Amino acid sequence: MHDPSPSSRNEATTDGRPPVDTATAGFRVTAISCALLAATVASGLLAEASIQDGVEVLDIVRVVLIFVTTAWLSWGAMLAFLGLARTRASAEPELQMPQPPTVVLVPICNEDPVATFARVAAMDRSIREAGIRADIAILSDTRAPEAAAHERRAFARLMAETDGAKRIFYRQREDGRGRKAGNVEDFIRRSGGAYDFAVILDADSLMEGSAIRGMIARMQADPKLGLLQTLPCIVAGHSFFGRAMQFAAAFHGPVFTRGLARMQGGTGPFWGHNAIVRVRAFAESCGLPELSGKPPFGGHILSHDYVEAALLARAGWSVKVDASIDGSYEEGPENVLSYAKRDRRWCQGNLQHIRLLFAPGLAGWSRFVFLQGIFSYLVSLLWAGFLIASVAATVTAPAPDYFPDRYQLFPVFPTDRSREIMALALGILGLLVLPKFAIWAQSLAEGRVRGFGGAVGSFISVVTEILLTSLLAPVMLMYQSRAVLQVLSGRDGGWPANARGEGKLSIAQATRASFWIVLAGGAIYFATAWLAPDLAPWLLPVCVPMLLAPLLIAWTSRPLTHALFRAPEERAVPPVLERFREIHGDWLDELQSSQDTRAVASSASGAGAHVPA
Amino acid sequence: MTEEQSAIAERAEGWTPPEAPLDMPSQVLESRARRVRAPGFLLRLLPMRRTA
Repeated sequence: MHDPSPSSRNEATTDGRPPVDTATAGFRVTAISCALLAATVASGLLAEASIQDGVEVLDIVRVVLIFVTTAWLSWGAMLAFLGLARTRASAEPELQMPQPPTVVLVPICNEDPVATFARVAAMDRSIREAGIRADIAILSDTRAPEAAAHERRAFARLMAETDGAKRIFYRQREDGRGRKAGNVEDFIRRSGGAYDFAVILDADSLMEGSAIRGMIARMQADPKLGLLQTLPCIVAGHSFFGRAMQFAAAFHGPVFTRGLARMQGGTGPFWGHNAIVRVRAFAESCGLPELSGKPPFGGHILSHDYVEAALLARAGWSVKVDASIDGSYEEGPENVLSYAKRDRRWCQGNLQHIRLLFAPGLAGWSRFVFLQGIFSYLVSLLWAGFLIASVAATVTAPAPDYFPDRYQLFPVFPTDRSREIMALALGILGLLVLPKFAIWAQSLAEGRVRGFGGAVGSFISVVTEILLTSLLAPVMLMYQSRAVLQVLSGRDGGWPANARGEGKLSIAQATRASFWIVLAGGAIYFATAWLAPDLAPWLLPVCVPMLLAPLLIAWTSRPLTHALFRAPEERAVPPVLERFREIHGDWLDELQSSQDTRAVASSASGAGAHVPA
Repeated sequence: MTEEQSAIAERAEGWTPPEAPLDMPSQVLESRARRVRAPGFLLRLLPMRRTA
């Protein structure tokens, strides 16, 4: 068995952490400097425009808020710009035989067993075709007896399909301690000694055997590598919203991830799934404690993946992300409400990291990553604060003094500063859209647009996705702000299961979930129109989507029937996905016919009750 | 228990992953708060608890 001794880890610094190479340090300095420069320009423009009638407290608040929020936007833009540059692809290492023992872990909790186990069957076949051996362990945290019985039945079907005895395992945990992280930890404590590498998946993950083979080879070739993360490609989007997310992830995602990889170096990210870990490294460094106090800030660590990446780096292992690994897939939320529900969970998890900012021994960059995660949610509250402060500053501004001197013949009119405000608005818009157009231009030059509907088709998709995200931004801002306020006020949102495959929403469902956004949008607009009519038109891009929230949520959940948001995986369906669809279809047919048989049998016996399989 | 369920329960014994324990120590993530010794004169200012 390949046993990495501590001496084979990174040539660590004196505190045991991996050293930062010059290129990574250069990328970090460039990105931070550019973000600070853009933030300084933005706050300078606002300061110039707002202090002409004297400096008020609200002016200072607005200048500070625009500094912080612009720095955040610029940071995101810098990830894309840094990711645009391509490096020469280095030769992929070959898998060395004997192949190190590897396991694929599929932690599940209240998932659709038929779809989940059909994915496992498809992956198992793909792994065997790739000429490797990998066990697969389905780790269930499902506790409801009926749901657990469905899983056992689906597993028996999986074993019959794959002949997977002693290769595919299923175990159900008695307690759900530590949720997904605890589930994986439990496996490692009981069975981790049998494996060198573990590929960690989600219930909706799919990976090609060839991708797993390549990842094992990468781990073999680099004994310092503790974790290798892939960029999963979103598949199976049907709704307008789902397909827009799928397109954005496939088209823009690799560039942003390349930028992230350059910036993070060996202190890279772990996104909790579609990644391979070195089992011994993970075992010795990633045992998560329960935080003191009650949720939302105490208890189990919810966003465990960021913490595990930081702990691996603390122990001297390198953690990398590689967007170029093909054959890694997952599913995404199909509508705004599913997205917001997942976001609420992530918000609580990321804000919990406030407790870990000063954890002993972490690399500075790991702390910065925690800070970014925290900030990604706080920023919504800051944007909302900026809007409120802007309205309040306008309402409380003193009337212009046309005759500041006592003996003055002609009036002095205030200088028109609308040019500065327009420049600021355009600058912020530029930070949001320029990276996406830059990615499109590069894709056009490289011919990558072919898989996305060609030059025109991909351009229309890029523009539509920008319009959609701009329209939904105020709605998302409201959901995120509510989530942050709930967490900060101590409300634990728990860890509800993912709502996979949730699709079309009716106007009534959307209204129930967003009426408070409509009320807030109406109140903000009419209060501004009454108190500061000049400012009201500026708030229309924010208030109109809020007023239309139910329509937007319901409309974007409808199936997309035209040729927008094409992705390469639709033209050439990946083999593992095609196989999953075949197996899933077959199993559903079997289930349907067995249900029909039971229904006939039960009506014949006069019971009349329908027993689901 | 139906025939199908008992067959599944029988097979389930072979479903569990292999036993190969690995130690996974819990990591320290919270810094222990430092106890600061208050100067004696401050303690004297505190109200004394009266015992019955």
